[in-house]
Amino acid sequence: MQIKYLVLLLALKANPITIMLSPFGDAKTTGHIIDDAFERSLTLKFAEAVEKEIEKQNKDVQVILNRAPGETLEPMQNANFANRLDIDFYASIHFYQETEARPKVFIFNYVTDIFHTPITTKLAFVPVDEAFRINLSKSDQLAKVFESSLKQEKYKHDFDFKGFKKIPFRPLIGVKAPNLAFEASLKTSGDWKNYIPAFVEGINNIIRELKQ
Amino acid sequence: MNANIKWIVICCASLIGAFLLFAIRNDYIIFNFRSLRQSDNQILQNKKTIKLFYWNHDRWNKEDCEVIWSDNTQNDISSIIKSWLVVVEEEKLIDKKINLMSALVSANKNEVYLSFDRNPFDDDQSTIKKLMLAESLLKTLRENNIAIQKVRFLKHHQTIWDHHLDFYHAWPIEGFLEEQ
Repeated sequence: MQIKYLVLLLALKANPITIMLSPFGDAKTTGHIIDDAFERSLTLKFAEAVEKEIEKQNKDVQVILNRAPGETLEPMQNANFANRLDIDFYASIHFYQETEARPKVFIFNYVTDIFHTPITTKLAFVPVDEAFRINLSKSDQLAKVFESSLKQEKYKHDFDFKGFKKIPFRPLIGVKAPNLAFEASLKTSGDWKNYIPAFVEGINNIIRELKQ
Repeated sequence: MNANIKWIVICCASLIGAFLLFAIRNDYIIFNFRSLRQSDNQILQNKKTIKLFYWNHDRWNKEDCEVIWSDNTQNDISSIIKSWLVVVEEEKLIDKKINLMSALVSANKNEVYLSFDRNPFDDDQSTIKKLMLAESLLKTLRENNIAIQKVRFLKHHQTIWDHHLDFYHAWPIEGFLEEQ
């Protein structure tokens, strides 16, 4: 495990921008049942496809997946991993079974309204589950960039984009880097491929924004 | 002779007394004192029509329901939530019967702790469905002018654990969505 971190750290030094993709699920948590598959396998396949595509289109960007098949994640492991590697952007990926006519996409960000710990000085003790507040404005800005990609006319044939919502979203707890969650519905287990172009374009726009 | 009559009178009086006591205990004789009677008008004044909200088919739906209103916030919240649970179950927004075990208002009257016997947020549902269920409950309390700021969701008096929504902190009564 230590060697894995060392290799990743060395790789990060060489690549200026690091994106972490967090496909929902692990060996113990299967997620939703979609058609004949579990959410955990579909999100992993989606994340692997997106990783290939982004690295092909952006030579100076490193994409990391936070888990491998068969791995069991501990609580807050995703957030600790992301924070330790000091990544530039974190995206959580989720799918669910669509029961209505059209597939839908939502993006979520963590909301601040429920936290009242004052952050008045540069050095402040803040509970770990409020770590997202460090880059809150950047998260908002990048989520809006991602949202504008999904809203485009060319994707309306594939899915209905239902909006960017700020809610207390558990998978984003503790992540310091700018982050968002992408949740999409699938009518069949193979439909995850329909989201790749839109997601990759959204991440590319975020990369462009991060480089500025 | 006088002694015999005296015993006969005592026995008859005891027998009648016993019959009366038996009749009162078993509700064969009922005393309807005017001071104990609650007037019909008073009962009608304690009834109130409340609005119950739920999200279905991509829009807000409203149903009216009459409940007994007590001006005790805890009891009123309990009545509202129980009626709301009946409606969401009828609309099949929850797939199992859920009961409200208790509704307790905090000492500073700002927060209410709602403890259910089961988790109303089914893990099989999408994040948005679970979110809108919680928002429906908050909207119902808000629109019925319940004077609290925050709501905590509990199952058997423990914080509800969900894969997608964080119930560790209290949710504000305004919810998280802009008014639709």
